[in-house]
Amino acid sequence: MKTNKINTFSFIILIFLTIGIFFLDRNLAPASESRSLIVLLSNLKFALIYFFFMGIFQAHIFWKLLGFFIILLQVVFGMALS
Amino acid sequence: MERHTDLKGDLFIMNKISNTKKYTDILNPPGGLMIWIFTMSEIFVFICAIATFLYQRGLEPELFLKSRLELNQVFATVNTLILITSSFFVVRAVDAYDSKNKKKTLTNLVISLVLGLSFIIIKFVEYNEKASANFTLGSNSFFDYYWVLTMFHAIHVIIGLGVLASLAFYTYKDIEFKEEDLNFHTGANYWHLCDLIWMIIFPVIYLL
Repeated sequence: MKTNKINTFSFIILIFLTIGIFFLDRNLAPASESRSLIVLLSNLKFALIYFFFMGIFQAHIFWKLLGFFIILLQVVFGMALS
Repeated sequence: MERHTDLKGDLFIMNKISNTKKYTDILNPPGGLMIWIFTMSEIFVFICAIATFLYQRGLEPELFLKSRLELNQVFATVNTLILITSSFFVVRAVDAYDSKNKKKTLTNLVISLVLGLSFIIIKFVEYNEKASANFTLGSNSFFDYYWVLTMFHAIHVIIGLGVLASLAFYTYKDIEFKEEDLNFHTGANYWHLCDLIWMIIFPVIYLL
């Protein structure tokens, strides 16, 4: 029951983040450095799916650390792009 | 011999319980180890592709910016919403499967399948729009990345639709999963992998 609530809450956040990123994209200049905010929000979406939808928050710490490592890599690449 | 069969049966039930309830063992992540080895290799393939994209963009920044503005962000955002919603219904299907609610499992899987199909239809409408405007593979290096990465992802989604359809078939026919590394959670995690890959390529190709 608790997991159901976490997943529903994650889903609602994911929807809001997607819509938020869309409007950020519309309002920020195409080559603006503020686009790094899009990178951070996109990685938050990645984390919600990885940790909650895929159930990694219940798994061994190795899989959690691997998730954080992937997010770190994406943030580094994303920041370089923005 | 009979005792051996019983023991095997007990072990199967124990494995099933440990698969659905306990994931604290490093070798037993949700869905089994094999799907996670596959997931990680796929994620690293896409991250490497993004690294080469980054390098190429550094060589042609003007071209990449100009080409990105030709993409349809509305289609991409709608597709993101569709994929997230579809994943959520797969999560609900997994919960229903664990609580042995066949009807709810099937309903959630069918909704996910319909949403997945919508994703593919919108993707092909987008491809048609780009092809009509002569932004095809070979037009420039940005569109090479666009076509290769998004097509590769679309192929994953099409395979995922097959996986969801087989999960629905297994559930409908009450077929038991015989292997520890090939169960309902494995199929569900493959669908979430499609979502994860999209979360990697969507901002890089469409937004940055």
